[in-house]
Amino acid sequence: MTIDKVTKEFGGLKAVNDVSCTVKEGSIVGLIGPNGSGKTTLFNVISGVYKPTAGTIMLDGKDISYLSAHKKTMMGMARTFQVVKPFNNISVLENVMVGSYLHNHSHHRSEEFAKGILERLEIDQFADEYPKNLPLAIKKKVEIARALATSPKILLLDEVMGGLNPQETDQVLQTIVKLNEEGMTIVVIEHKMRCIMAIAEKVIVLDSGKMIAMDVPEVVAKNPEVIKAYLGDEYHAEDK
Amino acid sequence: MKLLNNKIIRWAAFFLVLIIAGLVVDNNYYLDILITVVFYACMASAWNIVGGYAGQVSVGHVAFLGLGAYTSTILFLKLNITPLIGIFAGGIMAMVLALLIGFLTIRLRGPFFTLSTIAIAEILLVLAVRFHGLTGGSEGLNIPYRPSVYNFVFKSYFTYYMMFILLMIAIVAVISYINKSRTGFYLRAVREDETAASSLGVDVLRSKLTALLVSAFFTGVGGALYAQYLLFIDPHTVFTVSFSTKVAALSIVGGIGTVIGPIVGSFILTPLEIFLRSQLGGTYQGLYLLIYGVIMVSVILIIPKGIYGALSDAIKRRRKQVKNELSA
Ligand SMILES: Nc1ncnc2c1ncn2[C@@H]1O[C@H](COP(=O)(O)OP(=O)(O)OP(=O)(O)O)[C@@H](O)[C@H]1O
Ligand SMILES: [Mg+2]
Repeated sequence: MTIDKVTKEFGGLKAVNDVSCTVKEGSIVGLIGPNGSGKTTLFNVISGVYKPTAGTIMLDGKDISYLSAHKKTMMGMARTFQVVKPFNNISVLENVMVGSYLHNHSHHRSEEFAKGILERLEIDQFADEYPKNLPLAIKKKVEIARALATSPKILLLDEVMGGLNPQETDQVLQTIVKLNEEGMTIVVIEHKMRCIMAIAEKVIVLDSGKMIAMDVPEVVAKNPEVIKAYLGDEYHAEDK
Repeated sequence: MKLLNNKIIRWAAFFLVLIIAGLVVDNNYYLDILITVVFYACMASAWNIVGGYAGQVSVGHVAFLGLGAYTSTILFLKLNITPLIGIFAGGIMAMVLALLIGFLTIRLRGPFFTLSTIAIAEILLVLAVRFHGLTGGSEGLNIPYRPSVYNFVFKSYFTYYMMFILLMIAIVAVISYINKSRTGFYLRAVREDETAASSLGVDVLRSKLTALLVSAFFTGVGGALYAQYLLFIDPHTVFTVSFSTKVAALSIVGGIGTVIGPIVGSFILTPLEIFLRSQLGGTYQGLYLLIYGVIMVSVILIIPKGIYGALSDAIKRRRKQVKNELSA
């Protein structure tokens, strides 16, 4: 995926300002930056929730800048939402089946596929529960499960580890690595630096909408501009 | 597979009981009540496809009913086309209107969609009054009482009753299919969260439009059939917004987004309304509406998932409890 000079304005505010980068097929890329730096907005533009104000996004050699969200999903892009958006009045299994119906047309097959994903994320015991009755950690996993159910080639994860305990975090990290080993390209927004450093091949840093660094994690961590950007935000730069 | 068969057997039993009930009462007053109950069960079920599954609350559904009724009646009176065809033409005209409404309003979310559906129903009401030559204006149209299959006019109320039951079987079959199909899952996803739905590959506009088309077809067919039963239509009967709010209320009280909910709603509320009206209608004009309204609001406040929704949740909980006790 190639992002070329992408800008997104909200009434004068450049939430994403002239960002260019490439995400290599089969890699894990970390996207970091202080609060309000435009990470989620960039995801929203990539995934079709918003149209870019300027710039282009290419996937598999096709210009997908202005495609609607569902068409991008059909092309193999899936995402999760930082503020989880579960379908509260249908069961967890049915939530995931909405995703798995994309490539499985029969009820039976999409159910089997969805069950497999629930097992993989170890939330199959919640299959019949309604998400509204579940703790945030499980909702986050449902969010991942739903996205995975669309069998994406590229997966965008927006702070899926926020609010998880260390054990759950490790489990999600392992899942991400495993998915990547199976060939999935993954972009991760994460505040927990430890996680990003552990899995990302490349890290992109945003600050006030601008990309201020893009390199391997070790180099980015020592970049003075990055350290400065995080200075007023030490809490997040810490290994929490 | 076994579950499916069980379901079919249960529905077959339900319809059989209804038919037997119709044969047993053999009294036009009670048959009329049964017909009204089944008619509203059909219309609430059709509304539920859009309002319950897709979560697009329409209060303009009467537009489809009225258009269906006028289509078949005008085709018959002006062109002598049998209502057997006219009924389907009514359904198709309702779909055409749905398509138009879809393109105009379906991008609107929540209350804006709801409000625009009222406007459309009101526009049709005005048109029906104004185009006097075609619609008979506010005097309405009479279908002559000449019983024959071609005229689709019958001596026996039971025949009409069977027609409405056939419609209900068709609606139940289609909704049961949708319920388990990809379309059904996509509609519920759209109802719950449009942004999340589209991120999972759901074409939100197309899903809403599909729901509106299916719903409009059945509502139009129902309207045409109802016209044949009443043998009379006028703008204020078949384009009144209160029809739309009523079918919405039946669905909500029964339980939206389920196959059975709207049927439960009609089987409880329609007889209740008829009873209250006959008891209180004469002496205390409007009092029955007040009581009826209070009952409905109470149900909605106490059990937001509706009667059937609450029941099925209770059964699920009970089953789980039993399962836990067994495994313990
Ligand atoms: N729909 C919107 N309308 C107007 N402004 C918006 C909108 N969405 C985001 N913004 C603004 O754009 C900026 C970037 O927000 P964004 O949510 O992308 O940041 P973020 O990097 O994801 O932050 P966080 O780490 O807190 O999740 C913020 O100033 C935010 O207020
Ligand atoms: Mg964010």
